Parts: sequence; C-alpha cells; structure tokens
Amino acid sequence: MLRATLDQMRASAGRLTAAAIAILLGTAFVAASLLASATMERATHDAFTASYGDADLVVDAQGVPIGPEEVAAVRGTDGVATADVQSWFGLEVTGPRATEWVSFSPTPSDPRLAVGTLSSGRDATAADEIVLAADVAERLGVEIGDVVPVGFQVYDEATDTQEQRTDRLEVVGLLEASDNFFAMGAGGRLEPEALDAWRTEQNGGDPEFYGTVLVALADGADLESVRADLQSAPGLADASVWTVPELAAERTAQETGSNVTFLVVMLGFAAVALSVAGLVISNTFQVLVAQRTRTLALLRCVGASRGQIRRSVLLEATLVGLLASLAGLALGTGVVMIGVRVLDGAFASSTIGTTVPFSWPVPVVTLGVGVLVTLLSALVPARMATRVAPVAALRPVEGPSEQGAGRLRMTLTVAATLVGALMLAGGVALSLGLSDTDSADAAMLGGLAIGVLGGLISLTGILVGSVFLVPRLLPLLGRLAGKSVPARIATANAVRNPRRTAATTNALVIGVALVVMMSTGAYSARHTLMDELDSSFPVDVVAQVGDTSVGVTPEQVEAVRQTEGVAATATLRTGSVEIGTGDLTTYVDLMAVDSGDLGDVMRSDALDGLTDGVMVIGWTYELGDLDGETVTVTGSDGTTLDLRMVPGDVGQNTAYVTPEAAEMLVPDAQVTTIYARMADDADAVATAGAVQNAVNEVTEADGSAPVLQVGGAAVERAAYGQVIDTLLAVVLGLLAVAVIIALVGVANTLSLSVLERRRENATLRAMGLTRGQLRGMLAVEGVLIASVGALVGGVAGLLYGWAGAAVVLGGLGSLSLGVPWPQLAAVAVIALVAGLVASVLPARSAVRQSPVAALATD
Amino acid sequence: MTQTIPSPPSPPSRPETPAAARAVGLTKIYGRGDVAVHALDGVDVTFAAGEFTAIMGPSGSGKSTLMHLLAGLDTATAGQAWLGGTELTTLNDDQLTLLRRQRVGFVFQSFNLLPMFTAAQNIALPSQLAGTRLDTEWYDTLVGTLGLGDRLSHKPHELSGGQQQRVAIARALSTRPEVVFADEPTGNLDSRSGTEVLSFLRRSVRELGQTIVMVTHDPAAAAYADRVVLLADGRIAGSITDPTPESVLAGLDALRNPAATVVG
Repeated sequence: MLRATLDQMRASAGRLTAAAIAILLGTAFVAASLLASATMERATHDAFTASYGDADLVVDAQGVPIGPEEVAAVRGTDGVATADVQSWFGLEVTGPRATEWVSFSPTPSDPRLAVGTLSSGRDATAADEIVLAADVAERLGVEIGDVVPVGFQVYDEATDTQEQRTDRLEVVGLLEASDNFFAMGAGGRLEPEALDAWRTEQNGGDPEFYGTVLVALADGADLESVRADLQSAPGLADASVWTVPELAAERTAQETGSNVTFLVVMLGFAAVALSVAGLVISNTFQVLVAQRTRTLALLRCVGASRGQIRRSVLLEATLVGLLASLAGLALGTGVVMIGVRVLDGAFASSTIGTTVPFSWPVPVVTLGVGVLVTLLSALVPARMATRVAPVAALRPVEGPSEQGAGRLRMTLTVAATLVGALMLAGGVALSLGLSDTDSADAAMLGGLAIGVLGGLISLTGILVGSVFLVPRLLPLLGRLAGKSVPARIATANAVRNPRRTAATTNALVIGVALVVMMSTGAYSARHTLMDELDSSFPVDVVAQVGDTSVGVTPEQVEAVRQTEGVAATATLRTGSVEIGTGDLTTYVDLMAVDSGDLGDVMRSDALDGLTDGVMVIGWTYELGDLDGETVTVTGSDGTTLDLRMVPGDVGQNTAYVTPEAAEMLVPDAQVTTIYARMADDADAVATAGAVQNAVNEVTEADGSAPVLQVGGAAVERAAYGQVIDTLLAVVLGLLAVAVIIALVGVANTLSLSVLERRRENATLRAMGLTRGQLRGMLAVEGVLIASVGALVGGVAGLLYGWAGAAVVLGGLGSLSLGVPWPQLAAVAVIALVAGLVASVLPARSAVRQSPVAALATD
Repeated sequence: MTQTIPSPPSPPSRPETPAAARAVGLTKIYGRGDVAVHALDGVDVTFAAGEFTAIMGPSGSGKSTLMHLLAGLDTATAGQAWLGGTELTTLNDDQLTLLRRQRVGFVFQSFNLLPMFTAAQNIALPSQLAGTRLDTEWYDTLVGTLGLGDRLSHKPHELSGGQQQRVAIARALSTRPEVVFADEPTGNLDSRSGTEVLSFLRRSVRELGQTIVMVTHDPAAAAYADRVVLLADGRIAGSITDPTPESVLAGLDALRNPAATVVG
C-alpha cells in the first residue's frame, strides 16, 4: 500500500506541488514570525548583557536607591575586588564642527567593569580629561590632545533661574563607536569624582543615589558567598544581587511584552495564510481523489480495505505537508536571515546582529503546524476516497457528481450569517451608544469583542454558503464576459462543480475580505482623524511675527502667496481685548481678517457664524464655554462693544471678530499673522519648509521686515496620514500572502478543469475552436472565479471595515465612513490579472493536447 | 456488387463525381528509428462527393489515422491530404481549425456533446463558433428528420444514447459541411439505436446530399455505406462497392487470410 501511495504521488506530482506551495507559504510565515521574534528578543538580551560589561555581579537597587554609604559597603565586602556605580551625566560639548549634548559615564576602576572599549588613547583619570566615542569626536571635529569647551546648566532655586557652568577638558582617548543602543554612557567617559561632583552640583548639593552597582570579584572569591554577603550588607536588604546573565534575562523578560504582542500579531497573519492554504489543500486532495476514482476502485477490487484507502490518502497528505513545511521552514529562515543582514547593513547602530537564533521550537512548531493543517484539510477528501465503490472500476469514468448542497448547509448559512450580522450590529450599537459616557472605553472594548466574534461567525456563514451564492453570481458576471462561444462555455464550466468553485473562491474571499476590511478601516480612520485635525487645527500654515508691535510686510505676504503648494492666503490683525461677564473677566487674543477670505484658508466651519455683532470664541480658562450670551468686550483704548458669543473650536482664549469690530476695539493692531492653505496634492513638509525659506529671504533682504515663525497643522496632519499609510502597507503586505495562496488555488482548480474536460476541449477543437479561443475560454473561467471571490470578499470586507471603524473610532466624535475606491479598484484589477495569470499554465497544457489524442482517450 | 481485392492503389470508383476528400501517398509514422510505427504507409484513396463511404480494417490498420488526417485533425508525415480543392498538409493549426469549423463535421463514438448545454444549444454550437447564423429552415429539416423535436430543451444526460447520437449528427450537419467524418458512430449504442443512427446517416446522404466518411469495425454498419474501403497495415487493401454484411465479412476474412478465395 505504501508503494501504491508513493507511485500515485509521483503520478500527481504537479498537482501536489500546487498544494505544497500553499502550505509552504503558510509555514514560511510561521517560521519567519517565530525567528523574527526570537531575533528581537536575543537583540534585547544582548543589549542588556553588554550594558553591564564583564561584571561578576550586579547590585540592582530595585527602587530603593543606593547611596554613598551602601556603595562603600559593597566595596568593603569580602571578595569584592572593586565596584563601580552606573551613573551618567550630560554635557554640552563644543568642537570646531558642531556642538552636541553627550552622555558620559565614569571611567571604570577595573577593565572588567568597562562598558565599551577604548580604541585609542587612554582613559580619563583626571578631572580635566575627557574620553569621547569615536563617532561623537568625528561629528564634533576633535582629536586626541584637543581641549574642548563643555557646559551644563544648573538650576538655582533661590533665583528661579538656570545658570550656565562651563569648563575646558582635554580629550585623552577615544571609545569604539557605539553599536549598542542600551549601553549607557557610550557617548564618552569622565573621571569618576569629577562626574560625581558635577552631578551633585546639578542636584543642588544633595548626595547622589544610584540604581546599579557593578561588582568585580577578587581572584579566588566564591561567587555565591559574595552574593550572600552583599545581600546581607547594610542597606542592601531590598536590593537584588544578580549575575549578568540573570539580570539580562530578567530585563529581557520585562521588555519582551512588546515582543510577544509582535509575535501574536504575526502568528495571527500566519493563521490567516494557513487557513487559506488549508482550503487550497482540501480542494487539491478532493481533486486528486476524484481523478483517481478508477485507481481507487481498482485497489478496492483487488482487496484494499476502506481503512487502507483512508490511510493512503492521509499518508500522502502527511508526506506533502512534511516536505512543504520543510521548504517553508527553509524559506522563512532565509527571509529572516536576509532581513537581519539588510537591517544590520542599513543601520550602523543596529543591535540585531547578523545571525538568527535558531532553537528547537521553531522547526518543531513550523513542521507540526504545517503537517497538522495539511492532515486536517485532507480529512474530507480521505472520506470521499473511502466512499469509492469497487464497482466504479468496472464502469466508465463519469464526470464528478454534481450533487447540490443540503438543506442543513442552507440552514447553517442563514443562521450563521444572520447571527453574525446581528452581533456585528450589536457591537457597533454598544460602542456608539455609550461613546459619550464614562464607560466609553469599556463599551468600545466590549463592542469590539462582540463585533469580532460576530464578524467571524458571519464570515463562516458566507464561506459555508458560498456554494449557494457563487453559482448564482457567476452567470451574472459571465454576462459581462460577452456572448461569444468561449465566454459562454467558460461561464457554464465555472458553475459545473459548485462545491469546487465555491471552495476555490472561499480561499480568495478570506484574503480579499481582510485586505478590503483593513483598507476600509484605515481609510475611515484617516478621514475621521483628518476631520478631527481639521477642526482642532484648521489652518495648514501659520506665519506669525514674534514681536506683535511690528507688522508683516507686504513682500512677506506676497512671498507666502507665491510659494509653490500654497493654494490660498489670508492675513490677520491681532490684538488683545478684555471680556467679562459680571465680576469675571479675562483677556483673549483677538483676531480679525485683514485681507483674503478666512473661509478659503480654514479647514473647519468654526467661523461660519461670524457676522457683525458676533464674537466667535474658543474655550477660555476663566469663563469656560460661552454660548449665546452677550458679553461686553473692552478694547485696548477702553472702547467697549457688546457682542454675542458664538462658541467655536478656534483655540483657547482666542476670539475672532469682523474687521469693523476689530477696527473699533484695537485700532492700532498690526497685521501680524499670515494664514495659508495648501493645495490638496501639495507635499506638506516641503511646502511648510518652502514658506519658511520664502519669508526668511524677505527678512534677510529687508532688514526692517520682522522675523516670522512658521507653523501650522499641515505637517502634523501629513505625519498622522503617513503613520496610518505605513501601517496599512505593512498589514496589506502580510495579507497579500493569503491572497497569493488563494490564487494558487484558482490555478489548481483551472488545471483540474483542463484535465477533466480533455475530451470536451478536444471536441471543441475538432469543431473549430482555435487554440487562442481555448486559451481565452480558460482565461475567462479563471477571471470569473477570481472576480466572484473578489466581489464577495470585497463587499464583506467593506461591511466589516465600516463596522470595525464604527466600533473603534465611534468615540472620537465625527465618524467618517468612506469607500476606499483606489484600493477596491486595485483589488478588482488584481483579481482580473490574477485570474488571467492563473489560467496561463493550465491553458498551455490544454492547447498542447492534440485533439486526436484527447478524442482517443476512452 | 463488384469487388477488387487487393487493388492498391484503388482508382476512383466513380470518376464522374468530384472528389470530396482525397489522399495521395499519405503516410503517417509515429515514433522514430526502431520504434517507428507506420500507421499509414503511402495511402492513395478518393472519397467522392455525395457518397457514403465506410473505412474498415482490423485494429491498428490505420483507419482512424486516415480519417484524422483527412479531417485536418492531425498532420501527415508525408504525402498529401485534400479536402475538396484544399491541400491540408500545407496549412497551419489555425488554418486547419478554421477549415474544420467551416467545411467539416464530426460524429464521435461517445457522442461528445457538451453536458452543460441543451440539445438545441449543442446543435447551434458550430455555427456560433463560425460566427454565422444557423439556417432555420435547414435546422428545422434536421430536427424533423432526426426526430428531435421534443428533445431540444433537454441536456445530454436526460437523453438516451441513440438520442444523444442523433443530436450529435444534427450538430455535425448543422453547418452543411463538405464532408462529415463519423468515428464508430454506433460503437456505444445498442443495435436498435445503432440501426436508427445508420439509417439517418444514409438518409442524409441520399436525401440531403451529404458526403459521409465513416470509420467502423462492424460489417453490418459498413453495409449501410455506398462503398467500403478496406485498410490493412496502413495500406489500402481493397474496396467493396454496394456492400452487404456478407460481402464485407468476406472481404475482412480475405484480409486476415489472403490465401482464401473470396466469394464474389
């Protein structure tokens, strides 16, 4: 039976390869996730280890700072050769090329306690000596022997002022360039007593406390007894005494929380890829069993039992799963290794190293998961195989049975879809309904949990029910393909085996639904956030004079207006007025338009209500929100006006009035501010920079023009958008693996169609179907199957994306749901192209088939 | 009933009628060197227009190969195959495909109807492939003659074997091809359905003026033809005009046993 299984596998190697690719991609994902996570953990661990040098023991304060007395106690303990405190001190160092703020650690008393290595020169042993990291020295432009000015600030409590202390130190040595982010004091070293003195001075005379003491043992001292002695030393009862590996492990564990999150997220994507792979594998094995009906029946005829047949199929699945998982393991490892090399090359300060920590759980989990998924996917096909009756060998081969789906399946579909949809709606309602209450966060999390569960249940409903849905959708889409004979045959072929087609599209539905869901969610998040930013920071670019007694010059206004990327500008007069209700008064910054139209430059509608007799006012610290009441406003020269207060999101203690009102209240107000709105397609960062340059040029050319500060929300808005876009790109990249696996499935199904329909295709060729038409026929079939998957997945993903955005973003206020048309279009194009590509190989084998040979098969 | 055994190459039996299909020194070799098989070995034969010809011979005699070459389904190693005035061996695959589409009809042993289409859709398929309109008068004639009127909306699996083969014949004749090639058309049918199908094929020649070339190994089926061409070892081994089952059987016996005398 083993021989028979292996022979059968050899005969269907091509088809098994397609299934193997699916599992290979999935397991590569698992292996890469595990290895990347382990690499990150190792990097963290190494970094911590390096930050303690070669210390034998480390006294960790555990929150009870170690003072000079405790340090002395450590040094006095038997068996301790020397002990250094870990402390650092920041100095501003000035060289010919630059001034830099550098962090210094004390010169180690023993080479074993050194963090970092001297590359040239010697250590700082006197108060006027300094050692710099080679890269810092390079940037500053100093060498050994140079005397550099240094400085730091001291806070004087009595005068409430910062005082600058300066000194001049001689560079006596250079440290190897730091390659360890966590290694402390890597910027340079100072003589320990000098460092302590400065720190104490900066502290206002208080004695210094430390978190960590590094200990080097005397020759022959016993580590454990010294450890016990240290632990019982005065003042150290609450401290922990570790060896470096122990402490690094402890610190790594604390740091690893984020690594675990990373691993869980990555494995989540791997799970998606693997479930899609499972669908493809199940499909492939069903196809294999259908193809081998005759052989299986023959085996039954000559005495193979059902159990032997089942074991044969499962053995085949195990072998395929094992081989593919091995390849996946190799691929995943390779990807991580290359990735690590690339990162290491790209960042000089990378702590990742160039090797990958390969430990036994990685291959065990990867192979185990791969084989398990393959086996589970092969269970249904194995059952199909045992159902082949021996007499099937004696009958001519029939086409695959086209039995419809049962009533149970229909019930399950409707129930799961409805329950899931209701839960999804419930989750949204919960989150939105309580978004303004104190329990908004809890409601959001609860809504999210219910919504995710509902989403999973309804997706199950869609997948189970696709056998009903897909055959109904295919003819509708087929109509778009035209009325030609190849198109009609392709459409008819696509619905001939509803279960197989449905299983093929399901793999695609999962991938596409997730891609579209993420795109829709990100799109909604982007818009909601942008709306939020628009109302909080309505002006893209603000150019303001620092000293409000001088106004901007017309040349500066013109320079801003002419800057590329600026769509509209307005200038404003500003002044200060006092407003009051009863006894309570406050000063607010008054703004009024001087030229241009504020409606053109502001992205919010806060000023829509600004008319004569009105003051649009933001929240004031003293008066809170003012809404509707009429308040007396006192101008700079004592003029008063009664204005109706209209609340608006225009900034704290800021108010807008009409130019006429401003003329009365602050007649001497200067034009101090330029507002600019960027064109929608402008590069925010570049444009903001260009505006700054433009006004600077005017100021430099004309000494009387004021210096302008350029700010505004555009850069911030662009940064937020970029974060969302980057995250989305990463997520879509990960999900793309699932889509690729699904497309392998489409190709698989098509090549099966080609095999099954050899005689039909030969008949058509005999009757005058050209090779090109045959290719076109398969291309249409592939595109139809892929399009249905994309359509169902796209609609589901859109709904899930909206629901998810409503749950998560509902609390942010104005929820903005949208359709990410570009992404949807991309998905549609990818589906079309992928359907075409998936048909290429099957079509090639189809047209190679001579009609005579195919007609002779009987 | 006349008989010429063995008489390669066989002269056209009815020189006054134009040739619908013709083989001249037609040779087909499968494989190379030691394993080369001469499926056809310099065959010269002519099939007259408006005639019902049967090709007979033992298994491996090359009768199917001859039909495939004449129908433009396969390419010859040497020699020429003519369909009317067209020399097929000079045509490329696309030209052959278009020629089959426009000028040739096929009837297969296992019917080869497209299972997802109805009888009517199957019959209309060749004209749709050719992009021409199906002549409704001709369609009605075919449907009437073949007795398919009440079966047109059925799918193949709802039809009996005989009905399926009648649909296949209607499909083959629907574009009024110059020649219909039938490959063992009764091979999968019971004798009653087989008789029915053969009668239809003969009627389509007599009444509709069709040219039919039929490959068969059944002497009773061959007897429906106007003429039987006998093939053995890739060569023409004789021909029987106005055959009867007995004369065909005798001819076949003579092929197996060349020494035996033939009943004339």
